[in-house]
Amino acid sequence: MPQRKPHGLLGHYAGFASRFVALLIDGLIISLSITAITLATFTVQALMQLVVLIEATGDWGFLSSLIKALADPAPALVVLMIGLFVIIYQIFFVATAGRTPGKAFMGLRVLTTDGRKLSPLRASIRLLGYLVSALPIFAGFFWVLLDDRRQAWHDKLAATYVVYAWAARPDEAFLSDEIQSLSTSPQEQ
Amino acid sequence: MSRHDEEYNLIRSLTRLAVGSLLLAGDELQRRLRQWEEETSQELAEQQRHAPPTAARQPTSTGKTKPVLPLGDKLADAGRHALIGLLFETQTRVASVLAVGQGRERKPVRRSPPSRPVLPINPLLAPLHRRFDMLVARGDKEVNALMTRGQSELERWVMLGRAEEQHSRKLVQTALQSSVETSIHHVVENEEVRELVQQQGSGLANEIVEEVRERAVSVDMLLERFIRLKLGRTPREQLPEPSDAVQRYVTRHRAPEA
Repeated sequence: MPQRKPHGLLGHYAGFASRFVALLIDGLIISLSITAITLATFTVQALMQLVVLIEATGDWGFLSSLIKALADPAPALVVLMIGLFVIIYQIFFVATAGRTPGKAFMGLRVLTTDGRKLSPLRASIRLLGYLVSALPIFAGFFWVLLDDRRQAWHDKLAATYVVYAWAARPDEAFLSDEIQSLSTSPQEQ
Repeated sequence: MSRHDEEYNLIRSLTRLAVGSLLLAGDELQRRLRQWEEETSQELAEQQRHAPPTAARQPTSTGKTKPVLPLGDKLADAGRHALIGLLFETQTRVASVLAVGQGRERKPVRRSPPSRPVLPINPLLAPLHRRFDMLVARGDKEVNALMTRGQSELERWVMLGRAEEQHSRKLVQTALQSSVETSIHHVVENEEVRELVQQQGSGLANEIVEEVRERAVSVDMLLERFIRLKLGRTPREQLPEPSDAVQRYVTRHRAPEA
């Protein structure tokens, strides 16, 4: 087992599991936020329905169209709004704090390969890179397991690293047990 | 400083500590006792307003009242109350004796009545018998008076003991309750205790976060090792070192430790 350094794995490239858990946490936060927004939207919709009834008494031009759209939004619009929310969430947190809430919980940080905070443009590029990583059955995400610097495809696209921002250290008892079980597995023999 | 001097100073310091503790404790106890006595007296006064009347003496056939134990008192209770009453009575008498000083009055000591001698029955001794009977009757009278007085004293001690026991119990209850409340108040208001409680709370959250992070790091290593083994690549024990710029940035923006 590698000897523990005083700063552990601080600054080292974060692995797949840590990043995946961070993504799950972000997903949970986004889901809860969307649920809250949806509930608020339903309330607004109900109010708008009432306004529609009032509006039906006359023609209010563009305002009429807007009210109708809010009262009964098209599904595509809803999807668009959710997408916008996700985009803003990712770009805002990564560009301002260098990490999303999920990554903060896991002690991770996103930074450029030359050791600087991401700009909003670079954060946007990285986010677009998610599509690239996801398209071939998420191969771009799994690339983290193979890459020497544990970069996913969107990391390579945006020239970023995801690193441990704490004195990361494994649970050595757990790790040694699992390595031992892996070592004695039939595949290795 | 020699070892003997050091020991000597230590003893003196300990003595000072003991004396100071006694003095401070005495002062504090006196202050608190005064406060508790006031509270207890007020509560007892409230209770006695609603208390039932005490048992009266039972009249006898001769017209004189026969002293009886207070209503509801069993023998064991009466004994206990008598002892407590005697204790307080003795304290009062000692205090009065000390207060009077040289001019203390001596109470006459009552002698026990003479025991009846056994005399042979003889008509010539009738006057003597009569005289003796008179003496015995007088003695009996004195003994009865003494017994009555003793009984009344005993009863007084019992009544006094009962009252003082109630007062004493109430005082101790008040003292304990007050002490507990003060302790709790001190604990609640103490800044250090608050910080400790907050640290405990945040300590648990940090512990959970740290545990999750450590497990994730372990799984990072394991997954990578497993995939590399599956693909026929050599598992790596050491991760590649990040660049200096990355290391500097991360060190500057280090996440708070769990």
